[in-house]
This record gives sequence, C-alpha cells and structure tokens, in this order.
Amino acid sequence: MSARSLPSGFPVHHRRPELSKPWSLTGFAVVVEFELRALWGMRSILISSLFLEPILYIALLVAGLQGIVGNVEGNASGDYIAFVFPGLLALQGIQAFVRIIYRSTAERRWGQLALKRLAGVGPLGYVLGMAAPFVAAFVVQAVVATPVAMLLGLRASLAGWLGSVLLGAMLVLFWAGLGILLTAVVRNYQQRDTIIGLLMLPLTFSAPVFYSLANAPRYLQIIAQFNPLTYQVLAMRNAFAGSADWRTLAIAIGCSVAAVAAAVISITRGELLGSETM
Amino acid sequence: MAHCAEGTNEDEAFQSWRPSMSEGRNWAIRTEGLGKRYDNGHWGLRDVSLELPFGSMVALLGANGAGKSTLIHLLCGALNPTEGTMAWNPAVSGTEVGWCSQRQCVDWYLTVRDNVLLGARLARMDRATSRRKSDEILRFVELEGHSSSIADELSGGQQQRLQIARALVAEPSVLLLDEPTAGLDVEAAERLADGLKARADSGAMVLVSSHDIGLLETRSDQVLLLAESGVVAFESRNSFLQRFAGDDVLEILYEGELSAECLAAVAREVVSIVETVPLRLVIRRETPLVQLINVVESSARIQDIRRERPGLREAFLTFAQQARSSREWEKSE
Repeated sequence: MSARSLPSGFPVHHRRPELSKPWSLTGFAVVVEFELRALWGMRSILISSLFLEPILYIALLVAGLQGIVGNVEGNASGDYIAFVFPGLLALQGIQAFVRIIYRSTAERRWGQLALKRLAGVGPLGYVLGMAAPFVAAFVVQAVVATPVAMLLGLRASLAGWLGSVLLGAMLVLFWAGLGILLTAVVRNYQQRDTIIGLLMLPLTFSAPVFYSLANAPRYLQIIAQFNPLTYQVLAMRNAFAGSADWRTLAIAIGCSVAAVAAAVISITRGELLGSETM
Repeated sequence: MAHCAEGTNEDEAFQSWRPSMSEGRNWAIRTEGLGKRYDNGHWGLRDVSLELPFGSMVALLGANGAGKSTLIHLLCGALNPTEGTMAWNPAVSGTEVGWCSQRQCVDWYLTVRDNVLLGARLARMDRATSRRKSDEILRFVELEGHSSSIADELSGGQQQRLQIARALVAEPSVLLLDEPTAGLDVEAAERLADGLKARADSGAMVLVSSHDIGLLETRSDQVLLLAESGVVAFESRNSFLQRFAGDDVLEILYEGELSAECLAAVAREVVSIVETVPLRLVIRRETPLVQLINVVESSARIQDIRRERPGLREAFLTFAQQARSSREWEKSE
C-alpha cells in the first residue's frame, strides 16, 4: 500500500481549497442560467403559477371579500383591495419557499449541489443563484396581477408599487434562504413534506394578509409578532401606501439577510450530498 | 456507444485530450487516516492512507458496503471526512475533476444537452466551446438523439451515460467514477473502459469502481481493494494478482500412461497436482513449461496443453473466500 505521511507545510484540506469561501459569488451567473433552463423545463406548471394564480386570487377571492369586508381599519386609503393587494403579492412570493425546498432537496439528493460546489461555485453565489429565478418569477407575477387589481379599483403610485415589489423580492430571498436551510437538516421526503404542511398554513393565516391585526384576537396578535411574514406584509403594505415604518422595514430586511446568511453557512458547512434515504 | 471512425468528432472526445502535465504533478490525491462515520454511527470508511498517481487507472474493488462509494465521495469532496486528512495536488484546479456517482446524479428538470452543458459551463468553458464539446460527448455516449429530452425521461442506463458525458465533457485530469458501467450494454461498457484507459495513458488519474471486474482486467494499472470499510490492498495489478492469484492452472491432455517416476518428477516442478487424467497442475506464474513438457513426454504423448491464468476476478474471489474463511474461523474461536 502506498501510505505516506504528508510532508510538513503541505497544504491539507478536508475539501478542495476553492470550497472554503462562503461569501463568494463565483458561479452565480451559471447557476441562474441553468435554474432558468430548469424552470423552462417545467413551463406548464410555470404558466399556471405565474399567470393564472395571481389573476384568480384577485378576480375571485379578493373581489368576493371586497364586497363583504368593505373598508379596513388601519389602511390609509381604507380600501380593501389596496389593503390586501400587497399581502397577495407576498403570498405569491412565499411560493418560493415550497418550490425551493423541492428543488434544493433534489439538488442535494442527486448530487447537483456537490457538482456545483466542487466546480467552485461559491455558497453565496449558489444561494442567490437558486433564488434569482424565483425573484424574477415574483416580479412577473406582480406585473400580471396589478392590471387585474386595477380593473377592480386598485389605485397605486408607481413609486409605491416599485417599493412594494422591491420588498417582495427581499421576501422571496428570505423564503428561498429558509427553504435551502431546511433542506440541510431534512433527512427524507416524509420530513420535507411534513415541514411544508405544518409551516405553510399557520404562516399564511397568522400574518395580516387578509385581515388587519388591529381587529384580530389578542392571541393572534401575539402569534403574528413571531411570524416573519407579518413584517414582510406590513412593510410591503406601507411601501405601497407611500409610508414607512422603519422598525417593520428593518425587521423585514434583517430577516432576509439572516436567512440568506444562514443558508450560505449551511451550504458551506453541511454535507454536499443528501442522505441515501432521500 | 458509437464506434468511431478515425479522426471523427466522437474520437476527439477522448483522443485529442492531453492533460497539462508539469513538474510536481505526479500525484493527484493523497489521504492520511481518512475516515467517514455516518449519522447512524456506522463507519463507511476508516484509516485510509494512500497516494493516487497521475497516469494511472486504478481499479477500486470491494464487496457491497466495503466503502467504495464513500471513498469516491470523500475524494471528490462531496462528503466531509470525520477523521484524517486529504490533499489535492495544488496544481489540480477545481474544474479538473470529473466524478460520477453510483446513483444517477443528473438534474431531472434539465434536458439531456443542458445537463452536459452545465458540466462544461461549470468548467469555465465559453458558450461556443461548451456547445461543441457537449455535442461531441453526446455523440460519443450515443445520446445525441435525446438531446432535447428531459433527463427524467431517460432509462437508467441512458441516465448513467448522461452522467458520464457530463463528467467527461470538461476533459478532467482526475476522474473518480463509481460504477460508471452500471446499466450500460456490453459494447458501450467496453468502449467506455477503453476511453478511460486512453485518458489514464495520456496522464490522467482515473479511479473506477465496478462490479464488472472483467472490464478492468487488462486496463487497470493498479488495484485498490477495500473490505469492511478499510483498505486491504493498494498495489500494481501484477503484484495484486501475484498475491491473490499467483498460481496458474496447466491442463495437459496426453495419450498413454504416466509412470510413478514421471509424476514424482512433475510434482517437483509444480505447486500441486490436481488430477492425473487429464493432467491438471497448479503452477507458479513464472514457471517455464519446457522442462515440464519434457518430463511428461518422457512417459506419454502430449496432445494438447492449456494454461489458465487467473485474473482480477479470480484474485478478488480468492480474497473474498479467504476473508470469509477467516471470519468463520474467528467465530468458531
């Protein structure tokens, strides 16, 4: 057997040297390019989620609720559609969470994460590259949903709309980061589906998407304080209305930065190859 | 995989390739005390110390669960070692490593061509070169007709070929391949093995695990044998064969009868006499036959001679049998 001691001063790595730069953006463009190609491969699903979902939400749910809810306390315009529209955009953005969990699980299980990292793709480049198509999809959804909402009476300033969409993009980064982080600890498909099932419903309905927290029961107000979506929806709503609550904004942006950072660290430190049971 | 006429694009996939050899690039990977324990507490591999040289095709052998896949995943960096150290030759850049897992590690949502393009683009090839190389290698693995199919639509063998194509497209100087021939038909497997040997002869380090030991028989330069999560042997193929299958079997068909004196003289020249009609002898690999033939012909007329030389497969089976006997002996103790 050819067994030799490594000479002193010899560069020793548990992994290859280029894997040790967590904040590297290297490979971002390649990851984005091939994630977009993968999305294109699923274009039939994409068409329904990008175009039909936001339109149906607004045309059916919001239009129906508007008739019975009327004006909403805590909204500058008092108009329900202006109140609920940023929340609906946030709900579209949160879809990135589920999709990226599915995508990221497959990436780990089938060696794509390992392939990319071993070729020198930086963890930050990977996380942002995985999230970028979902950010782009979110912007498309916002562009599709806005004219439909305007037909139902939505009035919006361009600056307010842009601010809201920009914060929505930050929201997508948060949920994408959280999704990638979760796949680092998920051991099998059952765990993955359980987590998604348990998280999505409470997250969605404990945030003030369809109702104002001011009118909600006390226990719901308390739960909502621990839901990142609450701050994201409020920040988007404020931006849409042309106002700003700096505390809400800071928490919303801070959550996104923290989630992306945690995802980067999980990619840097965790196994690149998923469990055999997945 | 396609038979290639000389000078065609398919041939270029292998033949135009030469690694950029430079001084100090004689070894590719070194490990010392390398080990991996999985979450369930099982050690997939322990205490592996070895040096894998460039210009060599290494056959990675071992029974199921011996640690072959774990070793390949550790060497390519897909798994973190629990203990020990591993070093890549500093002259090897990150894009010079091609690996292929036993599971079909492809992107199920990408087309066949995009899967291969991904490998090329990750290796920093420009778009035009990536496209050209991808098309070449897809022709080589006979998947050009499926370029636009989604990888999920391919059969298991086709997905394995796709994985190989992606591993080869960047022309890596280090190839770590786990069961690359699984699911391939005989002709495709032979052709792939020839291509890998050509790469090793051109200076690449090629580590291949395969249950199809016959494919590695004449092509491997070295043998790395794993058993029970550890290295049992890492040596040249000839040395390995000498150790685990050092003796040949000689069968001599003859007319007449062999005298007792003749058989006694034969016995002095061989390891053992298995049977006398026909005469079956176990002989050392380097034993010259001339003297043996003269001894037999002094007593009978030789009609035919057949010499069987055990190969890697027989050597591996010998080892496995020895290991099993050893375990049974330990149990009985």
